[in-house]
Amino acid sequence: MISRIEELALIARCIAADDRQAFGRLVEEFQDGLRRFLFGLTMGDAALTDDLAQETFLKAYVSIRSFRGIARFKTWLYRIACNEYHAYMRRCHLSVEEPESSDDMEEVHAMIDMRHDIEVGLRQLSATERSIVLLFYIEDRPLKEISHILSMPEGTVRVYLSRSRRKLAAALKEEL
Amino acid sequence: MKRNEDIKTDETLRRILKTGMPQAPASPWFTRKVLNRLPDRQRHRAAWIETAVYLAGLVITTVYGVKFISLMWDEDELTLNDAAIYGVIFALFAMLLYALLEPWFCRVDTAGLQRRNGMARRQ
Repeated sequence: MISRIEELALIARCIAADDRQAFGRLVEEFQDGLRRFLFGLTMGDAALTDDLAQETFLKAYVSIRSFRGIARFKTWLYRIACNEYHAYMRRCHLSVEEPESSDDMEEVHAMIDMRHDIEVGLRQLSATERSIVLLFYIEDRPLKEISHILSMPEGTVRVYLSRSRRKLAAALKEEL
Repeated sequence: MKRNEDIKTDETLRRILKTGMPQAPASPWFTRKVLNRLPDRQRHRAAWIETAVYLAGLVITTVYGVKFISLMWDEDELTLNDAAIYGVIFALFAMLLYALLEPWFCRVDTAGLQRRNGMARRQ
């Protein structure tokens, strides 16, 4: 894991000298976490995860001059990733707010494997709730940072998290 | 204020999700794919000014060099002072030429290295 100073030095090299090696180092550093987050968000679609992750890094590179360095680079990157995901959902005319209520939910319910229980739980969440759950439980991001990533007030994040907690707890009640 | 029950649920959910969530499949070429898709380098104004200064320097040192050699030719003798001046002009010319061509050599070198690395990985 790179330190904050090293991170800023790499960003400075990208801005000042268009240093692609420095940007490659940033990609190496943050791709695992970002792809894990997007993989959860896309409900396990590996191809879409890679596409969105690549787009996220490209957008980050093109607009790296607008990175002010107040938040961590990772926070900024996750914000771009969330925007990319929501843009993709809009392009495909998929609802960001409405949870999927597909017929195969019953099939998934029939499986008692924990992985499937998690999938069932996550499917019951809206895209925003899913983003919050993944950032809070998997990426261990604090609420303040999540509110920054998703551009919403901290109180709203808290409400979403509480609702998601109830839904997930209901879906995973056998494991709890 | 979070209730104790919520804190307990959070801990359990965190544990379950971290152990049970499927991981994104490894993508060893991911960084390379991203770097290949980056837009072309844009030459900054500073780079153009730098090149222009080097070219001007090269022209000036060439003119002075030629002038100096023709003067030496006319006088028909070479003093230590003349040799020193000629050495300085030549050194300046060489330095400017190197500074002008160095980025180009670097690009060629990097491309060759990437090709060799790619071939080695395929083998």
